[in-house]
Amino acid sequence: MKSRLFTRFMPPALIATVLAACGSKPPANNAAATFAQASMQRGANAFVHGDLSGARHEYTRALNVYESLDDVKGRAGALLSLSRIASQSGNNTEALATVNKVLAEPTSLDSTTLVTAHGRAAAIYLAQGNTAMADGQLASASALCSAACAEAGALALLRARSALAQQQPAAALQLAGQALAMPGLTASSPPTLKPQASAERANALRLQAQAQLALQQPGAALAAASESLQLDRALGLAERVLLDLRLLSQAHAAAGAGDSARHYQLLADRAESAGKALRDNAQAN
Amino acid sequence: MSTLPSSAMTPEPDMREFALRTRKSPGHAWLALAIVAAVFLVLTSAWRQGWFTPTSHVYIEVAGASGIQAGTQVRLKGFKIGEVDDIKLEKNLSVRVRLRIETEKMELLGANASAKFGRDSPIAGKFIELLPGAREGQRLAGGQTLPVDAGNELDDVMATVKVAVDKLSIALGKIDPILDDTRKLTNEAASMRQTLSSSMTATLANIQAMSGQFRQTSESARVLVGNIDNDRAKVVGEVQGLLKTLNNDLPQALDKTKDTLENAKAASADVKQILRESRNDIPAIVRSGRTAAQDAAEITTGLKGSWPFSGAASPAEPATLPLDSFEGRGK
Repeated sequence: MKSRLFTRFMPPALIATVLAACGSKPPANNAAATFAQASMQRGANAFVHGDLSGARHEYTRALNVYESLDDVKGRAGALLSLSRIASQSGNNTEALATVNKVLAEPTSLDSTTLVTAHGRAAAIYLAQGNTAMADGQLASASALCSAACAEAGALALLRARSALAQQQPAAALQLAGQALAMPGLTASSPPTLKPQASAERANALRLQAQAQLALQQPGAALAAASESLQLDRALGLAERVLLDLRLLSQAHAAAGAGDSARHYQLLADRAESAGKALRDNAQAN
Repeated sequence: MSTLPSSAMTPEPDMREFALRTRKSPGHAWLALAIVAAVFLVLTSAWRQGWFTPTSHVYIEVAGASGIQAGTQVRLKGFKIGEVDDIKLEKNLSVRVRLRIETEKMELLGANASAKFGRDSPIAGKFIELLPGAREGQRLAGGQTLPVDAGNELDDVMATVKVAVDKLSIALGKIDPILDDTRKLTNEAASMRQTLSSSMTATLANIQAMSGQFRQTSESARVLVGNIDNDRAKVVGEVQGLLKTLNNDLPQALDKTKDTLENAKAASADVKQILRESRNDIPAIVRSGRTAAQDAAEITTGLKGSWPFSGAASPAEPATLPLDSFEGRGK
C-alpha cells in the first residue's frame, strides 16, 4: 500500500519540484558587485592573453569598487591578482607590498584566500633569493592547506623550488615527485582541458629535471624536460618553453650529445629573441 | 399444531437472492455508499454557499460596469451579506446591477439605505458597501433600487497607477535578460576586438542607466501605492503628479529605451559579424567544442541559480588569479 502510494504520488511531486526549480529566478547580485566581478573577469582574460597593462587596469577598477563596498573578500582577490601581475612584470617589490596588504588582515579572510596569499608571498621571496622568508610563508600556507586543498600541488612545488635554491636537489626531487602523484596534477588530454593543472604538472616535471641534472642524472632529466616542453608548448606558455629548451640543451650536454645540446640552445635563443620582440612591440603599441 | 407457511419460516426468495448477490459482490454496497456520500457532499456544499438561505434582490444603477462582476461581494459594516448576481446594460446606456442579499439582513437596512464602492487595498478588487440608512422606520424592501454614493475616484486613480507600475515592471523584466545577453556579448567582443568592447560597454551603461531610472519611478510608485491608505488626502496631489509624469515621460523614456535597445541590437550584429569573419581562423572542432561548452555553462548556471540546486551550489567566485608555483620567475 505504502509503495503504491509512493509510486503514484512521487512522479507528480518530482515533476512539480523540477518545474518549480526551473521557474524560480536566480538570486540577483547587486549592480556594483556585478560590475566588479565583470572587471575581475576581464582582468583574468587580459592576463591570460599576456596583456598585463589591461589586466592591471581592470583589477584596479575592481579593487576600487570592492573597497568602496567594504567587501573584504573581493578586495583580497583583487589585491592578490594585482600582486601576481606586478610579479609577472618583474616588479617583485610592488608585488610583495600588495600581497602584504592582504596578509595584514588575516582574521577576516577564509583559508583559501590566505593559502594563496602566503603561497604568493613565498614565490616572491624565492624570486628575491630570500629562502628563509619563503619557507616561513610556505609553513603558514601548509598549516592552512590540507591534503585535499586545491593549492597543495603548487605549495609542494614552491617548497621544491626553495630546496633547489638551497642546493638540496634530492629534497627537491622528492617534493616534485610527491606533487606529481597528487590527484590535482594528473595528466589530461589535451592539456588545455585543465590548463592550470597541466601547467603545474609541467612545473613539477621541469623542477624534477632541474633536480636530476643537479644530481647528475641527465637521462632522467631529458625525459622530464621533454614532457614539460610538450605541455608548455600545448598551453602556449612561452616563458616556460624557453626554460624547457635551455634545460634540454643542458641535459643533452651533460649526456655528451653536443649536437643536440647546440640544437636546443639555438631553439632557446630564437625563442628568447622572439619573446623580446613581442614584448617590445606590445610596449610600443 | 399449526403449520407455518413456508414464507414465514424462510426469507422471501427475492430478498434472499438480493442478500446472496450482495454477499457475492460487495461492490454494489460500496457504490450505494458512494452515491449517498456524494449527495451529502453536494447538499452540504450548496448549504454552505447559501442555496438554502432565503435571499432578496435589490438594485443599483451605475455609469459603467468597470470593476464589477457577478460574484462581487456586498458588505454591511464589513460583513458579507450578499453578492452581485446579475449585471445588465439598459437602453439608456446605464448599467443595472442586481444584488442578492440575505433576507434576514434586509431588516438591518433602512428604506433610505445607499451603496458605495470600496476596496480592501488600493490594488484589490472592488466590493459594494451598503450604508444602512435610518435605524428606525420603514425597512428596505426587495426590488428597491438603491442610490449609489459616487465618492471620489481615488481608487480608480490608484488602479491606473497600478497598471502603469505593472507595465514598468514588465518593461524591467524584459530589459534584465537583454542586459545579461549584452554582458555576455561584450565579454565575447572584448576577447575578439578591443575597440568594439568600449562601444558595447557604453551602450550597456546607457541601458543600465535607463533601467535604473525605470526602477526608481517604479519604486516611488509602489511606495506611494503602499502608503495610500494612511493618508489619502495628502497623497492625492502626489498621485496626480506621478500620473502626469507617467503620461508625459513614460512614452519618451520608452522611445529612448527603444533607441538604446536598437543600438544594442546593432552592436550585437557587429559582434556576430566579427564572429562570422573569424570563423576561418578557428578550426571547426574548436568552434563546436566552444559552443558545447557555452551551452553546458549556461545550463549549469541556470541550474545553479534554480531552487533547489541554488542551495547546493555556491555563488560564482570572483576571477582571482590562482597560485602558480612558477610565479616570480617572470622577467
